[in-house]
Parts: sequence; C-alpha cells; structure tokens
Amino acid sequence: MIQVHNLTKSYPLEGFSRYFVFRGISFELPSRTHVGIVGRNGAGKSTLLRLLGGMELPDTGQVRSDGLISPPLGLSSGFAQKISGRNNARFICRINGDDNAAARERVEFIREFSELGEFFERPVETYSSGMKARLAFSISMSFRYDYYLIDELTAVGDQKFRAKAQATFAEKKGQASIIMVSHNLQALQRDCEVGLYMSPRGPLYFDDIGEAIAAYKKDQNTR
Amino acid sequence: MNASQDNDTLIPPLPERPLGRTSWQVFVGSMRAFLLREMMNQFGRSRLGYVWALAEPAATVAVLAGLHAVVRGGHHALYGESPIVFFVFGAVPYFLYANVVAAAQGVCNSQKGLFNYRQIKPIDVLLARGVIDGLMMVGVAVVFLAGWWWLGHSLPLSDPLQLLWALFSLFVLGVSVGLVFEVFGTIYPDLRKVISMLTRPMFFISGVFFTIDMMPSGLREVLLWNPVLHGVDLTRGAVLPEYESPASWSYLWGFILVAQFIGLAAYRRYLYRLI
Repeated sequence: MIQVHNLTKSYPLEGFSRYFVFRGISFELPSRTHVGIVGRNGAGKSTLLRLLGGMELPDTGQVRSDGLISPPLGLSSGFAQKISGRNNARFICRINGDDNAAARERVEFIREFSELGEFFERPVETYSSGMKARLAFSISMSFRYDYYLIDELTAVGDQKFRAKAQATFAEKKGQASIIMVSHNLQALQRDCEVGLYMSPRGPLYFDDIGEAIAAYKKDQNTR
Repeated sequence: MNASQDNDTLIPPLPERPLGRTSWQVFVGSMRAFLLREMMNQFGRSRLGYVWALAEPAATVAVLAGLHAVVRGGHHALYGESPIVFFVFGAVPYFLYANVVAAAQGVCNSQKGLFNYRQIKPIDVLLARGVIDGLMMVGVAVVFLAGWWWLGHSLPLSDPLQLLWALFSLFVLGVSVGLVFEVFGTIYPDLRKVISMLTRPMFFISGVFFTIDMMPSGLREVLLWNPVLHGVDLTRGAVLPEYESPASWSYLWGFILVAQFIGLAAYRRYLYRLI
C-alpha cells in the first residue's frame, strides 16, 4: 500500500509567487493492483508520479510505501549517448547493486527482451526513439519492484512490442502494482483495475477504473 | 533462442538485487558505476579525449617557457634547474583545480535524466567528474616526470609526499568551490555569468608563472587572499629543492572547509531544486 499524506508541491513563478500543483492531498493506493491515473493536462498527474518515485521532493507531506517503487518506466533520457545499449544496461545493474554475475544474467535478459538485435552493441545515439524506449522498458522490467510507475506509455516501440509490454502488465497482475498515467482511456480500462482521478477539487480514488473514467468524462462535459 | 517466449512467463526469474543497502554502499556503488560509464562515454566522444587533457597544460607550458626565453634571454631568475619544470608545476596544479571546478559546472542540468534513478544524486556526478579530471591531471604530471627522467635529467622532486598532499588539497578545493558555484549557479542562472567573469583572471593571479616571494610586498598581501595561489605555491615548494614556499596550509584548508560547508549546506537546502 502506498500512503500519501498531506502532500503539497509548488513551483516558483516569476517574482516571489508560486504555482501550487496540489495542496495537502492525502490518499491511499492498494498494493498488487493496477492503478490508472486520469485528469486534465496540468492536473498534476506526472508530478504526482515523480513524487511517488522520489524523483522530486515535496514541499510538505510524505509518501509511505510498504514496497519498492520503480523509477518511471520507459524513461530514456538517462542514457549515455556514446556508449552501447549493453553498457548502459550494465550501468543500471551496477547502480542497483548487482555483482558481476548477476549483472551478466540480467543484461542477457535485457538483450533478449528488448529485441534490439545488433543495435544492442551500438551506441545509444544511433537508436531511434522507439528503440530507446524499448531498451528503457526492458531494463525496468528486469528488476523486481512492487510498484511500477508508467507515464504515458505511448512511445514504447511498434505494435508488436506494445503487445508484449501489455502482456507483461497482465502477467504482473496479482504480484505487483502498475501505476499508470495516460490519456488513452481505452488502454487504462483494459490494463487497470482501480482508478485515481486528479480532479480540480483534489484526487478522487475509485475502486473501479470505469468509475474514475466516468467521473473524469462527466467533469469534462460540464465544463 | 526464443526460449523465453515459448514459456508461459515473459519474464524469467532473474537474480535478486541486494536490498537494504546502507547509504554508504549505495554511494560507493553509484560512484564506481558512474566513473566507469563516464570514462567510456568520454572515450566514445573523441578517441583523442585523453590526449587533449595533456594538450592544454603542455601548450600553456610551451607558451610560458617561450615567453620567458624571449623576455629573459639565457639568464633565468626562476627557481629550479629549468624554467620548464617551474612552469609545469605551475600549470599542472592550476589546471587540476580549474578543470575540477569546470567539470562541476552544469552537471545538474545536463544529467537531469540520470536523477530519475534515485541512487544517483548531483553530488555523485559532480564528484565522479571531478575524480576523472583530477586523475587526468595527475596523469599529466606522471607523464611529464617520466619524460623528464627519460631525457636524462634528475627527477626534480624534493618532497613527493608534500606534492601529493598539495595536489589533493587543490582537488578538494576544486570540488568544494565547484559545488558552491554549481548549486548557486543552478538556482540563479544569472549568477553563472558573474562567476565566470570574476574567475576569468584566476589564471594570472594563481601563481602559474610566479611564486609568492617574487611579488612585491604591497601586491603580495592582496594576492594571498587567493587560496589557489597557496595550493600552487605549495606544489612548487614540494618540487623545487631550493624553494621554500611561504604559503599557508592552514589558510588553504580553512578556505576549503568554509567553501565545503557552504556548498554542502546549500546543496542540502536546495536539493529539491537541483534534481
């Protein structure tokens, strides 16, 4: 279970004013259940995800969890451009504390899962954006987490790889949580069980993803 | 081998990574990983990357030695058996400091993607970059000393331990000052311009081509506020047998501790804005 307690996050604007993404929000997300997060642009979905993952620090409040939270999935901006996909993967293994034998096994899995073929040995700067995303996704999937964070998984490669990614999510059901931000409501409906709607009045948690999407749609139509 | 696809599971059981590492273990692991990655990345950027590291101090020494020969003619009024040794052990310690400071600049913005991994924080990147650049300068010193010995000169080292200690002090000074500049420069981008303007004359006032006791006394008191001058002068005192450096270890390390405190305090305070 992830407990978010009294979380406030703001960013500085010009001068001394600040923009509050959200103020004092609290909610809980269940474990071993896929969560879909919906909301309008600027509602704070991505910020929330980054706060859950510890990529950003809140002004006040805290995030507590009983398990491991992944970095946002499919994130390819952290790669070193001049070195190969293999070496980038090995780097991630090393910072996670793998010894050489464990890293070798994991990198082998990443090579196979990412289906990059010979490009796995080439510098990342030669990759297309879809290939980068595939590499990043495979690296994230090679580590066991209790909560996987996904921000807009639209860019994960071609049709075939996307189907594979979706199958992986289905496989994780009941073992781990996937917390997914997306504007693709059909995908959320298909992949997720429960929902969180970042409404203008604050986050609303629903035990059924369909209800969260319905609430979001209703709000949009009344505007 | 499509074994993984034929099974019912897409993700086979993979080795568990160690959990519950202490923060020190995480720090050491990340540093090691990042050092390896940066070294590969720099080599990938340009095959001659490490040669260029040698070029900057070598060119500086060549220009200074040339100027000295033209201006002073044959009779040199410098310490040591050759002006080349004199200038090398001005340029190496100075560039050690300056390159470590330069390596720290811009790490927060250029490596933003890396900070998505919680194990890596700006300070790791800053330290690792500093270590690489510092080691390169030590390498330059070693290459020079080996070459000097190979040419048949005696090795001009009067106090090797003091040399190492002085170079290490300059490295720590560079990291501390670099941290201060980087933290405040990231928060107030305008400050970067001011900093680069203020530090531009550093090359000329840090004793690359003079020692403290060559300065007239009026000027000396002013120049001695510069901690880099102390470090460079102490390096030279360690190398040239007949030169006894009047520079102060306690001023140098006092400055380091103050800069380090300010840098770390500001880093801690503004970490949420750096990542």
